[in-house]
Amino acid sequence: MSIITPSEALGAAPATHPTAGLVNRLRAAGRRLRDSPRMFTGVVIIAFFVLLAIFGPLFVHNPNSFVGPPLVGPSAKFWLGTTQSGQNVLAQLIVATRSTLEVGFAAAIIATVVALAIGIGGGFVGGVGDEALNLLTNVVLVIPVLPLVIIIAAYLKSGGLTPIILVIAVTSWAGSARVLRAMTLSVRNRDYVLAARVSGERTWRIVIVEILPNLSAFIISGFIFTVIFAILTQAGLAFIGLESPDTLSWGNMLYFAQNDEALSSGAWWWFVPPGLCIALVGTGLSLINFGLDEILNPRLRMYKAPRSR
Amino acid sequence: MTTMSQEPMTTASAAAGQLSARADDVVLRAEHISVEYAGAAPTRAVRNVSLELRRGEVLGIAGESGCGKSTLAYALARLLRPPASLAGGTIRFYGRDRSDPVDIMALDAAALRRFRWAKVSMVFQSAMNALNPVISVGKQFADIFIEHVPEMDRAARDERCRELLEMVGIAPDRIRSFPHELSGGMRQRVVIAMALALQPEIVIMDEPTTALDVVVQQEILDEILRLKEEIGFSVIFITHDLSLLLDISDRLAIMYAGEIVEYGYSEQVAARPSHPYTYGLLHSFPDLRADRHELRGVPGSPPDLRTTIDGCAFAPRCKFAFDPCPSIHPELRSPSHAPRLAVVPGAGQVIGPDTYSQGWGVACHLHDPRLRPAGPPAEITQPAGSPAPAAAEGDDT
Amino acid sequence: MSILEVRDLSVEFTQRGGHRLRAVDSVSFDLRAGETLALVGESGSGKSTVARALCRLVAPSSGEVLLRGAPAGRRGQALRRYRREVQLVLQDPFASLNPSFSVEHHVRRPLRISGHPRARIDQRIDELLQSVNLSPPRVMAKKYPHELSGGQRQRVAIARALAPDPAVMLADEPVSMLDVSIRLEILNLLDALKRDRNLALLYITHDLATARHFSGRIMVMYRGEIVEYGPADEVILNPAHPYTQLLESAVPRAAVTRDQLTVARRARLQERKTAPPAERRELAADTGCRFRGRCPRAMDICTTHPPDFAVSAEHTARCWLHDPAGVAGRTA
Repeated sequence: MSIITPSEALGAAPATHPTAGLVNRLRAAGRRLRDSPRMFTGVVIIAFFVLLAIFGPLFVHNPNSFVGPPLVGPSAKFWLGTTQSGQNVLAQLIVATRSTLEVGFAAAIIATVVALAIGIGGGFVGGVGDEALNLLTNVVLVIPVLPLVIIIAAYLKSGGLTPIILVIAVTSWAGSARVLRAMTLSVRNRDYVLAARVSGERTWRIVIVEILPNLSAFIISGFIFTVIFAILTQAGLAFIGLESPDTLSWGNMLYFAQNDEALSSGAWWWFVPPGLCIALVGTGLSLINFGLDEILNPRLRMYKAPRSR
Repeated sequence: MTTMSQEPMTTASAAAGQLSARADDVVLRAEHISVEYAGAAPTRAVRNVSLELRRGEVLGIAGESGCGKSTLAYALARLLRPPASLAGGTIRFYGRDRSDPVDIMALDAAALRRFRWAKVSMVFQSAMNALNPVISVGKQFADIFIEHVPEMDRAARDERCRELLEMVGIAPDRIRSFPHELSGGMRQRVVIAMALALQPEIVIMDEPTTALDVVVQQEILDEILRLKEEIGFSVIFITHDLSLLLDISDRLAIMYAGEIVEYGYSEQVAARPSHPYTYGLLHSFPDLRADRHELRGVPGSPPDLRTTIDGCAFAPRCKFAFDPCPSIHPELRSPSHAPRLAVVPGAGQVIGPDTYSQGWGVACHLHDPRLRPAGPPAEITQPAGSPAPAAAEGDDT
Repeated sequence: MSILEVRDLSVEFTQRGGHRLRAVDSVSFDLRAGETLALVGESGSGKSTVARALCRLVAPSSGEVLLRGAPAGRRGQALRRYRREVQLVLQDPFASLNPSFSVEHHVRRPLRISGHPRARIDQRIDELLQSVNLSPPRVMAKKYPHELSGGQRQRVAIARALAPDPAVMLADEPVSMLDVSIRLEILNLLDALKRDRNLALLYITHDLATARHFSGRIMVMYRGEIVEYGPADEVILNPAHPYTQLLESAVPRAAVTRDQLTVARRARLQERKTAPPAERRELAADTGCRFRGRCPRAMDICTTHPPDFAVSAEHTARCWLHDPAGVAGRTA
């Protein structure tokens, strides 16, 4: 039972829609970045890795060349030691950052776009189209992902990042699509959407202008979540040998390390760094997600702000 | 239509028939209640409100959104949750059994659990919010008994539940129904029956009929009053619908910006409103059967309760505001047209003018003979149903 | 002059399990320029569905809607033209504005859609805001919905509806969610706008009192049907249909003493003792008059669905009690 809230006590309208004045809120968010330690930490971590991915390879030459004695621990010359074949682990790590993040973000972007199209499209259109898309979504959702991913990856083991990106994208859109559809169904019947229809607004504009902003919080957090998922999935696939060996990614580094028995020979400098990087990126993204939640959802803030009616 | 001298219609009329509460038989007394909502800018939702509820009466509290009436109700039932908290005041309950008054705020957790529902129960604004949608009606009643009367066995609980349903006009076999299987009116009856399950002495009702249609509303209110006479409880009835309150309450209080601005016997307030806001509210309800005439509400909006308000909170919206209004806060006093020695309805007693028990008060400088010896403007004391006078400039509300 | 004519409009919904619900059943009326028609009914009567059908938010199952004599457009260009002429104001001021956008955006969009020249849009927005008493217009235009009170939001909704310069305005319970003291302001505003722009206004409400005071004619709906239709004063002061009579008697009377109230209450309680229990009364009768279950004056013939009977020149009621032939001899 809702107790009369301060905003109701003020006689004014409840001010708590998460996207009220979205642009204003994002600007305010920038200011609040400093106030939210979680978000700030997350942004710092991710910013670091993104910069590393973009600029790192410029400073590193040929990570796959054999430059030193095999399986040597960290030293002044090789900060992270060398691999079984005498390659510079640090160099590999830096170059691998780019492909790992590329796969992560690219797969997430594709998955999100597909989820938007199917989830919102179906939810808004209704009728037979919605039923069909919903069925498709549920089927894809129910298919066990890992076996499917393994099979497809094994089948497409031709070169480059593209197959991996597509595989991950195709298997991860369904969860978001389902939620987006539900949210669309709920927003679609809100009075301001009806008012837009009565004004003669065209359907596509209604979807983009009226419905999308209300889903933005979920879309952003869903996107970030998918990036994490994509990176972890890629690492998993690489670890079991399903990524093209030409690609240099953290997952592949782990694969080679395991293959060349780095674990049993105690060459921690080979497998700990890539694993740690994966964990750090995952953590950074999660922190950003939590921070976003705090900003866009006033309820989670310290002083229990007004609840909407 | 209007007679300038309204004799207290109180004596003959109310003394006849209806159960009238004796002025000295109080069941709940709240003094100087203030409720604050914590936050970056704390909001004082209820400001220094005092009232008393007499045994067997219906006390109405009227006001619009933001006046604090719901917050007050929750405070009285000790249901306030953070960020709201009681910032001051005492609430005392005087039981039927004439034992010592109970300070509601001082009860410990166990005593509070026993007290709640058995002595004071509440009917909330939306029945659907009060009823658990996945539990059958019967089970929800059972939960009340299990909590408060553990010695009742299953058969006795069932029996009592059927009795209660019948009492509010629902077929007893509905004991197994779920809330969504009942219509809105039915659900509200169930909620009322639940509030009466333990035969409490006070029932607080917060807009119990807002979501219902006018015909069903009338039925339910009739039921409530009938049950009140049968079982003998007192009611605090909270609503924004002043015309409804005039119908069912014995006394009423009008709230504005967290304070009581007028209170009195319903008949008296309806016949001669004292506060400009009351007057405005009364004229916001067009009379169904009267001739058409120009209708005006009360332009403007309530003040921001985060700020401290100097003077009278209603002054910015008040047509009759004069010099002292924006700076001096008006205290409750007798309206200038109240008889000096009031005859209290039904009780047949004559009491002095300056106690709450006199039953009629208004917080308005227009009634202060020191500030306005001539008394309030005549038009303000027109009863409901008469044409509103020419209006001031409308502004954006 | 009739701007909008509605003939035998029906709206059916198919629920789960194939059950067909007739929310609106063969409703006919017309809206005239410069006049207000009130549509009164309880929740579930179908009154909101009528408004939505007239705006084509919901597709009618049968019947026709004629705008200035021509059938209402169903899709594409024709529908857009129709929408410019028939506008809607909704009940909930807190839900009818998109919280992400300013007041200006809400009023600008309909102007753009109806092809208003860009150069003059700002001026037109100011005019519209001024006409609903939101001033100063430039300041109010920049505000967001959460910065406005309920009354102000409703004014924005009205301004938005007026933007395409419609001929017909449908107001679906425009004030029921507003504070009592400002309801009359908004209703007076709608009335003034109707007069100034010669609008045909359909005022949907469950409040009989404001229906009477603000409209020239009243229609009473019960479970999807119009059971009474006529001039406002006549329908209220001389209700012909038992349902209207029931509604009218349930509205609190002013200037009554507590004794009179108590007496009336006791009489009602007594009457209800002999009536069937509340539940059974609320069940809809499938055939015949739908009010039969609750009607204190139901007769045998009421198992046959009554047609409309004329009570006087412009006043009709759908009730056998007004059958000019054979009322004598039919007893309750």
